[in-house]
Amino acid sequence: MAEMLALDFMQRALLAALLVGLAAPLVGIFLVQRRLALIGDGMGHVALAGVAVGVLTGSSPVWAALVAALVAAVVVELIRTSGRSQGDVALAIIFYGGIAASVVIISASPKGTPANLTAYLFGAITTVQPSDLWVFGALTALIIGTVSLLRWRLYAVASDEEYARSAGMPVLALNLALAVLTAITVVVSMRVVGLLLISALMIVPNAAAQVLGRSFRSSLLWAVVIGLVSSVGGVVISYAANAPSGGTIVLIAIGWYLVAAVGAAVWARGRRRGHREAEGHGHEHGPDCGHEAIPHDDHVDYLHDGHLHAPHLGHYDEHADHAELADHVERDGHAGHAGHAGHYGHADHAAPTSPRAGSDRVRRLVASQPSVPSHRPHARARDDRPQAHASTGDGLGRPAAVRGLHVGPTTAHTLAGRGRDGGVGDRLSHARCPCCHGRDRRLADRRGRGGLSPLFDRRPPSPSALSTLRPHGRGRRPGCRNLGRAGQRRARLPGGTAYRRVGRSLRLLLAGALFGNTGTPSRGSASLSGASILAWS
Amino acid sequence: MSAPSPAPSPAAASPAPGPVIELRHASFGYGERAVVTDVSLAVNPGDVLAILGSNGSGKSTVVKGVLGLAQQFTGEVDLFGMPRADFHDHPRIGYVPQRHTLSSTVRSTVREVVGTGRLSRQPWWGRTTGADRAAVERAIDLVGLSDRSSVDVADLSGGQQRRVLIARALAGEPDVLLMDEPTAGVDAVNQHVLADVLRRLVEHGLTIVVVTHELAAFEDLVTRVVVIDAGQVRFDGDRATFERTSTSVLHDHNHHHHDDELEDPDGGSVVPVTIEVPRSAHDASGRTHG
Repeated sequence: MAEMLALDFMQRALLAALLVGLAAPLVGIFLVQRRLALIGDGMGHVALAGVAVGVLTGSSPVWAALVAALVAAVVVELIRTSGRSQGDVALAIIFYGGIAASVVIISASPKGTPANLTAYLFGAITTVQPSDLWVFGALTALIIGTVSLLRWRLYAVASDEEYARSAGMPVLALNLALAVLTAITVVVSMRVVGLLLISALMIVPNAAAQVLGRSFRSSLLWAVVIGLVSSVGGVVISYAANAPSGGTIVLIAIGWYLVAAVGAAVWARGRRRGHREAEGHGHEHGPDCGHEAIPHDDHVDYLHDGHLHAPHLGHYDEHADHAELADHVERDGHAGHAGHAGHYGHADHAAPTSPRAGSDRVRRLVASQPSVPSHRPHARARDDRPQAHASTGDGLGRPAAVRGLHVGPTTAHTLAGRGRDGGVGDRLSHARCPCCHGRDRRLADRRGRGGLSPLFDRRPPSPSALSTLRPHGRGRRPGCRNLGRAGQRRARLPGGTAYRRVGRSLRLLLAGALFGNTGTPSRGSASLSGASILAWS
Repeated sequence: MSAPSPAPSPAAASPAPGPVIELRHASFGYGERAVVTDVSLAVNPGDVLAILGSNGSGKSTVVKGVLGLAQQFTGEVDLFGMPRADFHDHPRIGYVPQRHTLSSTVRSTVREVVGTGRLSRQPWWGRTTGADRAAVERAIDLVGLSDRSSVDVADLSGGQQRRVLIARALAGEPDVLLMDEPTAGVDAVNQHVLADVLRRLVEHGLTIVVVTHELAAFEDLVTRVVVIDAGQVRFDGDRATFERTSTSVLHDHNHHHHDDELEDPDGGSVVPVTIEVPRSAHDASGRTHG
């Protein structure tokens, strides 16, 4: 390794590979998006004619190739935009004209034969000149700068040109910019990857990244990572195996694609097992649908006729057992469905006829009971926001459930993830997580010990807060609590910063000072629900 | 946060209460063929205007002509009191194109797609600010997809993808929304949801132009109806008048349920009116990608 790095030409080849690996996927994603995956190939053909002219005249082939590729890029884009039906024929003429001209021109050169073109066509690590590196570096900086500035505009134009035009975006200018970027990428890659293979390094890392990523942003990052690994790895391997660098790089990239595709297929198969779909679901859930929305880690469950439905792809998944829910509803002194607008949380269940009065009563009751802080559900009920629940809408015809969501113990437990309390909500939400089983509960316990702020776990999330919950965690089954560290962070509600143990101790001390009770909440006390509060009074 | 504050700024933004969109004897078409001729139409602030017509009647072309996506041959188009050529305040007009699905060649989350609707309010060198992000979240919230903002749009149903397109138009905080066939190919459940979304937008005071071939989904929302047939305006009046005269005005559009047919402005049942016009540089502007 050290021996390899000591070689001048290898240092240059590795640097060039680094630049190519960065630049090519950045441009390639927009070509993939516009279904122009093969345009880079055609531009490579034309750039080859530039190389031939450079060899013939004794000037730098890189500059000649750059000029040829830029001219081709602009002409191709103008032909494409003009929308003539023979557009693709015109492209073919330009591209094949380029490669034909290059072969003829290079054979006219006294010291050149068509065989000299091989290094340009398929890439060779020994060909990177010191002067090339400066050019490549500047061009790569240009590509990265342009893409990072214009990426969302390029994305918008590539995804919906008509809309972009209606929004007043300079569509032609952006398309020309992309064409120029493609030409520049072709030239940057000509030494290490080769003009015939450069298109592959623009497209294949993106193909793999589409499998791995879950958004445009993340798939672009994946593409750059795969591009870098492929290009730098390819150069290293081609040195060790004495193979042409371009072919090695592309084979590695395709290898990544295969690994990603097969891995994703196996993963998807695994996910399908134990995944229950709600049958014949004609209703469309949403913040306004009238069903209680219960944020659950990285997604939202909708309480629908006693089922918890979580949106997944085009359907809904069942996330809890019917019987469990019925049991839970019954214990709260409720008959019928818990899932319809008009239910505003368990605090209000205490007096179903008058939600506001119910809450007030709970409030008074809680205030008169010094030992209450040890009873978490009560504490929550006290701090519920009854005004949000009492109204049935916000003037927009939106049921109160939209804003208030579900603020009773169920949600509180779900949000706090306090499995140790053994509250009703915990069993409701986690008993049937088909992919975690026991681990799930242990995780909830851990989080319970960590503790959350007593304020946060009873505050209902706003509709916009809902959107920050990731409805579908990356690579995780919906409904799975076992999210990993990053997933837990994401799943937490805004503002719901985790208290450290110190925070929890302080909180308990404070509660003790105020109410004369420093006891840690016990399992039994926490299982008190709305019905028991009622009975208490 | 309780109710999301209205994403679109209501008509208050324009002090002069003149028409939002005004067409005077305008003809639009593609290439050298005019598809609609001599359209005169004024959309006033607060209008909820339905442009009705059968497939191929040219109703979409009117909207595209207003936006500059179709070629304009004759007449004048004024946007917010300004000739269209001088109008550069593009975010004030939100456009919901006729799409059956969103292009899904690459992964895109709902938030990313909706975010592109905000670009017209951002300078090209500028970064996304907190206000931009808030506007995008509000727009997603208004169409009721806030629980799915991080989902790949390819995983959404057709009706949900329409709502994504509406949210994209709303992200620019427009004063007027032009929608092209929002309900075509959408099942009854999702049409209902779409109508709810529109109702919410109307309550926010947004001026809306809906191109559709079936009024049923928006019946109680629409305040005014324009019927276009064979490239000409056949009716323009309020809904009550329309309902009284609908039998004579409409030939068959109420029985027309070819939801899955894409309206082809170049083809269709209408014989296009060809008029002599000089070819202009924007000849092919109407021909977008397929």
